[in-house]
Amino acid sequence: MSVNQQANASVMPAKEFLTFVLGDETYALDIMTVKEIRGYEIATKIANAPNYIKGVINLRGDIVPIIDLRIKFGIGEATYNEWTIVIMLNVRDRIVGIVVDGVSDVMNLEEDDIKPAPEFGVSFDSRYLHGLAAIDDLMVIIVDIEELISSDELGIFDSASV
Amino acid sequence: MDNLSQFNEVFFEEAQEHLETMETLLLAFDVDAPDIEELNSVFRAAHSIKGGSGIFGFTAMTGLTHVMENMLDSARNSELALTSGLITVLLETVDVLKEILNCYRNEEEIDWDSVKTAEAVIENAHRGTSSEQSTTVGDVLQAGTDDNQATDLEEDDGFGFFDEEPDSSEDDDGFGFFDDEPDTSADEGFGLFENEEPKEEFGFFDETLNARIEKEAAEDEDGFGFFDPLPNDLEQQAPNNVVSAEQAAPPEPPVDQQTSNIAAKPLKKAVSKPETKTTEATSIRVETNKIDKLVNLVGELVITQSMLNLIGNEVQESMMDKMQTALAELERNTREIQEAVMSVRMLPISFVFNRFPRLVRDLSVKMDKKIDLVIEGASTEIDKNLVEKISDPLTHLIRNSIDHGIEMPDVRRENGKNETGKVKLSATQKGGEIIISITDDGAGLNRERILNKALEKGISLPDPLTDEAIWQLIFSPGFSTAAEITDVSGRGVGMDVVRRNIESLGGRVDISSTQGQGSEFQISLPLTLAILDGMCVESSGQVFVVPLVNIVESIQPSKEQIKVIKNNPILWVREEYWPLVDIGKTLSGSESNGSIDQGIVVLVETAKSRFGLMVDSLVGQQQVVIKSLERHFKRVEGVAGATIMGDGSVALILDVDSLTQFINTDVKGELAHVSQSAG
Repeated sequence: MSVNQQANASVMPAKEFLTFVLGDETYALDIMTVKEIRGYEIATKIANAPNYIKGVINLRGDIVPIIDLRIKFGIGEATYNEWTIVIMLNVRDRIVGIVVDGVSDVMNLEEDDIKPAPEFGVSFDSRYLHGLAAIDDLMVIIVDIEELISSDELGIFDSASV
Repeated sequence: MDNLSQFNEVFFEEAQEHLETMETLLLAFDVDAPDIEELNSVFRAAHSIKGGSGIFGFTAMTGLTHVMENMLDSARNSELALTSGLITVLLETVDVLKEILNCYRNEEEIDWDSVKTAEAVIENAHRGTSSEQSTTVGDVLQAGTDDNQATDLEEDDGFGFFDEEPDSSEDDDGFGFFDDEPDTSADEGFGLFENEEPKEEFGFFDETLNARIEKEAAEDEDGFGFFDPLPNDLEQQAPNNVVSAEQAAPPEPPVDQQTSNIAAKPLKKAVSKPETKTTEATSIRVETNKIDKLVNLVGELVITQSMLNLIGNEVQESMMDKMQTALAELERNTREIQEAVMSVRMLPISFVFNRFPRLVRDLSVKMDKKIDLVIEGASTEIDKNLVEKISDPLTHLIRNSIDHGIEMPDVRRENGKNETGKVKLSATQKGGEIIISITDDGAGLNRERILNKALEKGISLPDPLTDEAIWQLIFSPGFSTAAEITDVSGRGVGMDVVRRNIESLGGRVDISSTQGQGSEFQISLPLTLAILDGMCVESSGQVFVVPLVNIVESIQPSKEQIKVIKNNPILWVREEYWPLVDIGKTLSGSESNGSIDQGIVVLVETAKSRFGLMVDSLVGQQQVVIKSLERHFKRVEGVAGATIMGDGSVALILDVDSLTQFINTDVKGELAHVSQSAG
């Protein structure tokens, strides 16, 4: 244990990321924020909410909002079928679900593997990006999900309460 | 260290409770007809705090409770007559103790000056009114207050022949304190000790003390006679034996005090046991988040149960009957569990109200006003969360009523009112709301003064200037009409905060006032987490819950009843025009399908307005559990919360009050015009 720690002292310890698919692009988020993964179910619509807020669902007694990132960032087509996945996230003591096209893998990344994100060419604002990582010819976009979910742009938290 | 600190929290909770008990008892104490039993309870509370704080090294509390105990001790031995002045001193001491407790709790620096001052005050009060002897006793004991152990020892030394006692008394204290430990056997055993300990041991002391002091007083001896050598003591006590036994409140057989301690002890124990049993606590402390978890789980259980019901209907013929019976049983049990769990969270509002007699008493003394506080509906149950949050706003409002509302006695007499002002605090449950009102029979709000003040402060005036709108001005930030700033009120922060606090709970404050007759502040609070009676309605394929309390009636309008003003439909029912709000359009963004006369209109009313909700159909009446939308999302206009339906889906609960804003303002204006010309 202690030997290991010493060996890794120079590099950041590896973190685990969950990769998911939006349209043709593969994204990843810190797995520690993931509460659970479940199938999509019809949400109860919320009055006067933007179209990417699909509504709220009942997660074992908690009323949880569901966000469709595909609509928000205009990636892929917002279709809902039996393979549509919702990732339940724990962000700043709140639970939020995000709709994605699919969940693919869990991978280990070290800080060195993550390259800075370009200013353009990604649907997300660079504020919410942690960086890019190349894995087997596949480019994975690493999202700073906490920043994104709690952002004013998404507007799902009252700014006063965050 | 850590081992001990895990019990600190238990001590804090207990001490808090003891302090509250003391306060309640002291407030209820009748100076003219002192009840020794009550005094004993106060004494026991003080003693428990002293013991506990000693164990945990909270010396500030130990010292103060000790001098307090001395005074109480003299009082319950009828040696010191408690005047209302002394009660005030005791109450103030309780306040200081509360502060010290908070300091320890938050690991803050103790204000030793105030502790010392409080000790001195109580000593002085004690000295001023009691006999010479007890003064000296107090002084001597005071020397040891910094160290509980030393104090106890000294005290015991004084009693010389009770040498066996101090050890057992300390031990009992210690174990009594730990009686919250999960181990039930320990609980039973030691819990009993705790309750009976003060009676058993200290009661015994008191009696002797009493006897001695009587004797000494008669002989006008020096106070230090208290610590006289043992043989002397015994001689003196013997003749007074009977007197002292008569004075002790619980009728006890005169015990021959010259017998050894060992002999006396079992006898006493036998006497005190049956009394103490009745006072044993029948409650346990549970963390609120555990209860919250239970509530959530039960909610899930209810949903699972209704899912089972659906499946049960599809079961094959042969099993059908059995299945249905079992399901019916399950349904009943589930409902009972739900009710039981919900009731755990609910507390009687007396938890909040009980602190106000004290407040009113203090304020009336401070301001030389005579005030009666009447409390009604103290058993109304509200959610525990609300109990904590409603206390501050209520305190502000009551202070305001007393400071600004109730006039000075002479003014009241001149105006032909009873000299004693009346402040009424009442709570009732009305449908889905708790109504708490604070009524006073004071001067009422002064329209002119409020208006002048508002102009002075540059607060924009409402239009039109109705009384109600003017009263609401007093909630503006920085508003205060008090002629001068007292430490009671007048800084103009209170009312502003009151309204904000109450609104943050989803409630509102309404004021009604009549000049010269008094005013009423009415707080309406939703029963969050409580069960709400609602009507489920469907609109645009989605189910909404309308609180039953708001519903006047539901009708299927005919074409003739629908009029149109500026393209907005209104409804003519019961000789009145009702503006309409289309739920589907405002809350799910879909266009209404079909004409109004094909749907149903639910007529609703709030304190401010009456209107109709256009829905597609009624689903049925149901009790629902309110869930917060804000917990994971944010506040939504027109929606009070959400609930989970039998099939597990989420339905929004409508906030009829805030739906008012969706009424087209043109229509509102027109309607006002119509009703004016009609009138």
